Amino acid sequence: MHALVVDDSRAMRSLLRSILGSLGIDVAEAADGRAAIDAVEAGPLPDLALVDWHMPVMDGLELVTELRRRKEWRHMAIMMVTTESEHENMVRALLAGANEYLIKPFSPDAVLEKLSLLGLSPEPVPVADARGDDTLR
Amino acid sequence: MTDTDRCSPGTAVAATKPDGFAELVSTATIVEIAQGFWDAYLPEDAVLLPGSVLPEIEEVRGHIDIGGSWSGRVEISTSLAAARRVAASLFSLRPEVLDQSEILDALGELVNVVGGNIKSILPAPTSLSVPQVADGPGEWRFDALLEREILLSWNSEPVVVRVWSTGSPAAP
Repeated sequence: MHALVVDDSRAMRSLLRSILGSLGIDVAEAADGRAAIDAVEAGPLPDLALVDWHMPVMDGLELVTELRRRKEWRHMAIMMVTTESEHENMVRALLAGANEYLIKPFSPDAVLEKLSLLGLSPEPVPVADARGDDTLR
Repeated sequence: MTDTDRCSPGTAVAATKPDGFAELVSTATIVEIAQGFWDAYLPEDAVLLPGSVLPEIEEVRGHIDIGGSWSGRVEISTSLAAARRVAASLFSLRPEVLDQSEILDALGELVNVVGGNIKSILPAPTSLSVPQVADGPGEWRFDALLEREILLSWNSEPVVVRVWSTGSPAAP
């Protein structure tokens, strides 16, 4: 499974990479919505995009709207990962095309639960195998 | 941070009438929100305790601005050591290998989470800025009312949460 994590915080991208990597999911990263579009166009097409709301250049809501405009990307699941927890904002994101909504701060179990709700239940892999080279720094 | 954001140590002053922040968000709620960050991202070392004194030097600081029905700023400052440990957890790296940009990035996410969750309690519509972070001496220049200054301690390291109010455009 391929996931694209879109967040302007490197720390948050790293955290999500670690959680998803421990589940055997390949992770690509983008720091804003425009970079995410570029990454999706460059491929491989992710099965899942995890999208922050507040980002420079292109925010998460704009990104979701853009992603849903393209027919060839319609099978990609989109999960908003944000502090925006007001009901009306959740509705805006879902109407724009997001499939799930995860509010920060979140636990690894919460991520797993949302993946399950999306019908994306990866097999866990040993933690040592899931860590990237960065852990060796 | 821009030059105008930073000034020599001084006292912030009230600029406009606040819009009942005290009634909208309690200190306990703010502490609970901050604790939620530690519970989620540093679960093995998550206990935030009440602090007693302001740190002499606030080594790293970040803030995020809220606009809309209520406007103001949420600011968090802490020691470099505490920020480094937070960053180490988020980056899954040993604290000693982190560079300054990674430490400040993690602090920005802490500010984003705390500020964003405070924003969610306030009456809509509200908007959130992207976080700003800085290290070294100096203070943010922000002419506003200091609504809350919450001193916390994490492993004997200071964590200070401040909320500044510039009031409400809707207020009479």
